[in-house]
Amino acid sequence: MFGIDIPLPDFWVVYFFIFWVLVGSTAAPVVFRHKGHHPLIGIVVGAAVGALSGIAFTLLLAALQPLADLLDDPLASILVSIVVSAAIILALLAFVRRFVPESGGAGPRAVEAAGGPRAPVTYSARVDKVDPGWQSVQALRASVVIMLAGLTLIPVIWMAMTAFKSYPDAVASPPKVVFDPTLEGIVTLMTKRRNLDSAQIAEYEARDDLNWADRIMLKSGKAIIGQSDYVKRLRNSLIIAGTSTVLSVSMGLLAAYAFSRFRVPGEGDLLFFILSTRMLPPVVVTIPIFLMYRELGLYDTHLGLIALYTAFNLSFSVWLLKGFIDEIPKEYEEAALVDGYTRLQAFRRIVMPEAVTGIAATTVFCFIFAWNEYAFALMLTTDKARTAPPHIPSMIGSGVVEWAAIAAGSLFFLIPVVIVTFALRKYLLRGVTFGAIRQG
Amino acid sequence: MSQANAQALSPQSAAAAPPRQRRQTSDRAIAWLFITPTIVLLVVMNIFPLFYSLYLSFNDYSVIGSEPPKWVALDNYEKILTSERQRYWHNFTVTGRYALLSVGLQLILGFGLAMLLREKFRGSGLITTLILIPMMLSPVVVGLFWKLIFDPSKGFFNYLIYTNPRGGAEWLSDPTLGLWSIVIVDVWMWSPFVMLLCLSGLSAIPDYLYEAAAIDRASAWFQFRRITLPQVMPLLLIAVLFRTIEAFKAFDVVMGLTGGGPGDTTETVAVRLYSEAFLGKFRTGESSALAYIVLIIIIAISNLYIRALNRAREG
Repeated sequence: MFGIDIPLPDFWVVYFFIFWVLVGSTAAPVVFRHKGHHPLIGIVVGAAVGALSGIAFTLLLAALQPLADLLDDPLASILVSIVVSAAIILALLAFVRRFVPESGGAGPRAVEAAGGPRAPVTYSARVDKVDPGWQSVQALRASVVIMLAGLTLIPVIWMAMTAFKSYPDAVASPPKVVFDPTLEGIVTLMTKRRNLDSAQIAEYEARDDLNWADRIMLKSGKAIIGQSDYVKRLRNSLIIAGTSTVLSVSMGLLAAYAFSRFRVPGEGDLLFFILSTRMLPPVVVTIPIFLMYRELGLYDTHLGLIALYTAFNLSFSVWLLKGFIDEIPKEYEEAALVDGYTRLQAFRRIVMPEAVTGIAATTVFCFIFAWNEYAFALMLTTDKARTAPPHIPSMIGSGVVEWAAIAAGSLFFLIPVVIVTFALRKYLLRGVTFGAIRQG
Repeated sequence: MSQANAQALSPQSAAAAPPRQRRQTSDRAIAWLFITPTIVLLVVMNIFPLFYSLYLSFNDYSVIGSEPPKWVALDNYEKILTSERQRYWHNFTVTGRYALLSVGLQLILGFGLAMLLREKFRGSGLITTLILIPMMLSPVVVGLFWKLIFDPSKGFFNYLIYTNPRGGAEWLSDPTLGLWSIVIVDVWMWSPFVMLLCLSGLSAIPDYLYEAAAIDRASAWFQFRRITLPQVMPLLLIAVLFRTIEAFKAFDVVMGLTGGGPGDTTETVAVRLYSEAFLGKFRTGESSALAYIVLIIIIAISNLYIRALNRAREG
């Protein structure tokens, strides 16, 4: 694997081979279990059926090559092969379903067939879901979804791979799937470098005070001379996103509590006004803000971006938190007030602990927004307070495009978001619709 | 007697006023205390700038120029709506085409995915979350790495849609494909959002509707058309409105991917606004007027959107 250059293989051949094996090995066991056999036999038979269809797909693709040449459109041959191989696997599965004999052993079905008690339904509560036809369709659905999810993730995986490629591998044509992993991209991202001539390289190689990063760069004839701007930008992102999140969630929590529990005059209008600011294109808001910041000396400062992000997230956090607080029964606080708590104590000891999941979800959403934000940062900062999103594209502009470094930069930037997406999965819908719609 | 009792129960409220009335007044104080910081910040950061840019939209002004704003009344609006209409109209048609194509495809794909994921299977939660990842990523970074993917020689996109790449398509530098590449990225990012909305709608449909239909021997197609579709409709409407508003905001992905090019074929309204206001001549007055026109359109759409949201929440 290492050191051998393999170009991008025929992607669809691999993809559909896996796809048909998956379909076969999930759909066939349903039939086998239904007829009283061990499902493992079904998995083996199904995988074999799938592999057969996969091979059929490959052969078809090769056989249809003349057609593709004729139409000058290889896509047609792929589509035909997909349809034909799908027909093949469905026919094979139907054949299996028809001709696999009922188990002769002493399985529950056999007992039932011999006039004994009914075979127990062990794998579903709803009667229509016991039907093998329904189960096969469900297996097919699951396979399709899994393969689509795989397809969706390819760009992200590709970026993660590019981050570990060396410069020639990253810009190879055709693109490489298998390559020598290296940390060159990451080191390039984090450092400033200068080129060395051959005498200097020899001199550097003789030195023994080099760390691993120096050695990696030395391989491509460069010496590290300092930290790159990216580190600074990432730190700015962290400071600005963190501070604005804390501010907007704490202010939003207070406002949401007030809107939820007290009668505020003009409440509907206020809430609409709060939300509508979020709907505007950022550029619309930025023109006057830009002028205002220039007058106040807030242009290209952390404080300026923090204030803007706080204001923008505030609308969102008020709406989201109001939804969460509305769900806490008023009676809890009323009981506490009767017991002699003051309003503030009730808020702190009763409402806040109850709303803690909501607060956590809101915090994360606000953080992601501020972390991902690009337009404001692009227009209101130049250097001192510039965050990572406007910085990453600007790395393209300077001479040779270091795709590996850009991919590494993007990867570091995206990892927190991916982790958070998993943590938040139950609240995603609520977050993106301002708390209006809950996930079922 | 009752006074003494109340004091015994709550030692903190030693004040002379009856506890009930005291609590009410302090409630109002707390309400204002809690809301004021939010309102103040929003007025300073949102309302003031909006009025300021309304003022600017009636002026001839450039932030890099040395002259102060000069009152020209409706000249800026007149320029956009009449004399230079064609240039601006182009940006609106680009935005419209982009919105129509991407929202249409997202609805089909998102709804299809939701139908597939409707019945849970082992691991469906994990798969759903994996599909949702693109939605949460930074749009500009997404635009950037798709730029590499679309590259005709270094990217893999052409290799995926053509088994043997001869003369692959130049996605980002072809005038017609440029918009399509943005649509593809947008669909990749936001179909999961539509899927999520549809899933929540589908899971809310009561089973008895299907059972009643099955007893009446309704076909699967009939059940889909008369039960599933109408029940999910409000959520699809929300998806359409939300994505349309987002289309007017489309800036990050376009900037990361094409920067409005080739030529001005992918220059959406937001990108145009940016280049008017912050590049070249910094035409602040004119861009403020354009911003106000966009603002009016978006407020109209978001009014509909919020009404749809409220209806979905109540129903």
